Amino acid sequence: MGMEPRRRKLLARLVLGTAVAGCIAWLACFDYAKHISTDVLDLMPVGERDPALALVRQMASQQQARAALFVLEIPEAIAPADESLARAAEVFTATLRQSPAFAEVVALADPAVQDEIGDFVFTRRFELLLPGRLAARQAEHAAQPAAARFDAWLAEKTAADLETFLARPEALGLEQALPADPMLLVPEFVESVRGLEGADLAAGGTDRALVWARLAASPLTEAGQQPVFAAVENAAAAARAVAPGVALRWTAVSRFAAESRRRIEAEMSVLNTLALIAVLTVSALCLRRLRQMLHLAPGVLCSLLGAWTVTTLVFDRVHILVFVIGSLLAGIAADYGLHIYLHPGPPDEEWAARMRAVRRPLVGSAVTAMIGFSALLLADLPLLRQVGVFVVAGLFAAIGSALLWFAQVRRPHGELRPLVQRGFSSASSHLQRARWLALIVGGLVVAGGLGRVHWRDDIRDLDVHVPALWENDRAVRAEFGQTTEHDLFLARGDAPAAARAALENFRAWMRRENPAARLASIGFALPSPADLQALPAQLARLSGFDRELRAALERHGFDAAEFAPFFSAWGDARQRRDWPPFESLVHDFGAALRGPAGMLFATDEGASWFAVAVEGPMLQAPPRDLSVVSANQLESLNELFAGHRRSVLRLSLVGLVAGAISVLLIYGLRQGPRMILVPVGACLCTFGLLGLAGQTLNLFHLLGAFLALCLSLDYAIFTGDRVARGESGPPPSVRLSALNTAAAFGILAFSRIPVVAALGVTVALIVVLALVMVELDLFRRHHEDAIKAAGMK
Amino acid sequence: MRAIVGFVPARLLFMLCLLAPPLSAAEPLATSGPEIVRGENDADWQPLFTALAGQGAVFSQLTERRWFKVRKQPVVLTGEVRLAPEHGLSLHYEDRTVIVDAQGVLLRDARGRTRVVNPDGRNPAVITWLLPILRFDLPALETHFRVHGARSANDWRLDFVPRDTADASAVGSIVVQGTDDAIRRIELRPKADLRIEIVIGTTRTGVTFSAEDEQRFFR
Repeated sequence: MGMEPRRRKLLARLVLGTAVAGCIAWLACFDYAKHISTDVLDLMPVGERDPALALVRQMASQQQARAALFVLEIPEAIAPADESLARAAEVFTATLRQSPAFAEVVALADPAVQDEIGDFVFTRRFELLLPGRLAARQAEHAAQPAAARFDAWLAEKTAADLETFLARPEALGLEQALPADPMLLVPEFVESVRGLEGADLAAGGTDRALVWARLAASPLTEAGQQPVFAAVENAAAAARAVAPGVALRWTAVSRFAAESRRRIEAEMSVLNTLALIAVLTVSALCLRRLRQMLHLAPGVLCSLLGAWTVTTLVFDRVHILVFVIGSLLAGIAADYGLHIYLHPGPPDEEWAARMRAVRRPLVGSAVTAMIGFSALLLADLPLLRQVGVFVVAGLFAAIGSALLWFAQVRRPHGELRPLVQRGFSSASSHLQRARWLALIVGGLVVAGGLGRVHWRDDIRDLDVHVPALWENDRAVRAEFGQTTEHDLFLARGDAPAAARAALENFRAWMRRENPAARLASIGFALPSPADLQALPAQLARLSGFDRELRAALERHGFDAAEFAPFFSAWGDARQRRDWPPFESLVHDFGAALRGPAGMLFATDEGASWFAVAVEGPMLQAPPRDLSVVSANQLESLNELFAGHRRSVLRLSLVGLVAGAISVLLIYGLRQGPRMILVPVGACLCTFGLLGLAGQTLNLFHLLGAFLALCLSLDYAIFTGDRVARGESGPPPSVRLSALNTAAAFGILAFSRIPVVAALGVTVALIVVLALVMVELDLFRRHHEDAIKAAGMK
Repeated sequence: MRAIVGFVPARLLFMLCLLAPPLSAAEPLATSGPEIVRGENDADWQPLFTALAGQGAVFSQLTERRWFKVRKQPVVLTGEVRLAPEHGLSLHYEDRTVIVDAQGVLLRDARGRTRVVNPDGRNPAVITWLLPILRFDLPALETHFRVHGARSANDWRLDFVPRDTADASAVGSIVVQGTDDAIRRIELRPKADLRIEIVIGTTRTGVTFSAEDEQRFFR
């Protein structure tokens, strides 16, 4: 501070210019599309400790999210539609396949995919399906002590089951397969996947054709959005060229992601513009000359620049909400400049003298806020860690740039309009009454409202609601036979064998606990490793089975000679010695299942799973040791968010205590508690008001409160510091800051994005209440003490 | 395995043949008659088609015989047919109901669980045959079938022969026989080694299904 003014200015410009240039250079080269995310799942910890959530995260982002569903239809008026529709579907599918944006495109009316899967299962039925069947039958046989020898019992049961099967409607379609499969291995497998989305899809009709596709890139990235939309538009145009009346409806996560991003950007753009207008209006009303506001801009811009730079340097992928929440930083960042610039000193006051006057509260306020936000660095939730880094870096940049900026301004002195400069007289009788009234009302609000506070943590609040897209999505999925009639679970394991074992354990558990429910899973096409290993021994035991089966078939009215294909295959199986290992079967199985069925399982090492649809009532959730989790993890995600909300509460308290200790250390036990009372009182009153209004609260109300606590503590520190110097009421800079912040966040409270609205309403209320508290001069007694002390001297 | 996929047209044909009003015990006509061509020789048939199409809601008993190549004797099933013009067709067997309507085919089990039966991709037009035959709408049927008719006294026989040669070889002809304005017997050979015969028993026409029946037996 004792530095020669010209040298000081030069040094300040050099440091500020270098820092700004460095930040701009970094942000100019930054790949925003790659590193900025709008994916809600990116708000979850990558190494989430709950494996169920990690699995669902993988499934949602890597598997199911890539599916795109298309419905091509020709209005009834254009008839006959079927031939032109078929041509349109063919052209649409072919055009889509040519696009690199799609990895796989399947017309569901095309039987090729189903045939390939069917051929695979049928050809290899003895490897895939026989082991499980023999194990199940042996268990049934063992439960009947008086039963005949196993091979004779099995033969009789096979013939009886076949006879029963022929009386069912399904038998007509499978009749040709029966000579090779009297044990009904394939029909029962077909039955075991019924009801499973993707395995039991509708194929369309005469008036509509269904096409399923898998995106090449994640729909949450740029590569999974615009190129996809262009390819779809291109394919639709090609279809319309051959069938002019054809209409297309389609759904994909890409559409939601793109629309969500568009709406968030549009909304934030509008809200930020309105907030800027509000701030300028408030400033125009408070400042004598509006251009004085320009002195605050460098601090705000440098703060945001520093925050963006440090956050993107520290984190590889940053969620867009960090920047939305972090925009609050602008309010704090502007404060430092305001406090320096609007400090009520003589107009020609030197920079050094001004710094001496504001140094203590300025440093106290910044250090307290930084300590408070540093607590967020300990959070599990990436979002909170990112917000912590963003705000701490931004605060550091804000105070640094404010000091450097005003170090080069000739006369850093701003003037407010008289009313804002003067404030209310603390001696006025109206103010006395208002103080008591405020205390009574505040007490009642806190007492009556806090008990009514309800927390509701819903991850869907993080997104923008787009009803039209959801309606379209429901309608298109219904065309594909996808409904919400089933409970969907994932049987999981570190390896395919473990996942298959989990599936088997789940089936056994369901048979015991919930026999009325029916399970469907593509995983039933694979044998359990144990059953596969036992197959050769089982076949060796069944030496008399073929003879017994021939006799049983004749007894049940069949012509045993017609089953020659089966007896031939059975004989070969009994001679066979080179049964494939389980891993080999899994590999072939994975390669054979294309199209929608390929999305019903994953055989990755470390995260394997099979989807299981449960039809019928789920009386209780499967126990955790079954390694089966619900695929609908909305509840779990919400619980996770509730957990993180509690974590934020704990961290906020830690941050608050740390900040309070720093305030007490700087301002002592006489002045410090009053300073702490302002943010705490404003916060409690805000939650009381929200409770009385019936507003349910979430993580983001808490986060907003934490951020606003720092702002209001800032006001209290500057007011307390001023009172300690024998002056009354808050400094004018606090009034302008609070009014600007309230105006800007009051605008955000009207956002259609629930979390932004939550932040807006919380911050605006706390800031307004804090301003009211400092205006009501809670430091009055201290003020009187200070005057007395001054008089005694 | 391709047989699995071929299941749907077979069953659809089987089901559409169950659109049967009453039955008497006359001997079936053994051979098909000449093709009925609209505007040329259909005048004598129009009263029958009009009568069949105008019966309103119908309830019948059915006996179905299925001749499988692997069995020495036919499999015999009994059940009920419900035809409601506004809802479609319902075939109720012991523990299952097959529902055919404008939206497609639905299978419902005894516990009320339903599932959609997909049409066969190789024969996408098959499902569209159902409603014209339900209505005995000759102009619409002519799009996909050549219709042959034979008569002897009050007995009649209609053979629906697919115009598409691939369809004709895949699903064969459908033979519908009756007496006066009542269907008595339907026969189809969806595959070379599969024959299905449906005999329509006691029939009531112009019935009104209760709301409970509509919910249970239709979509």
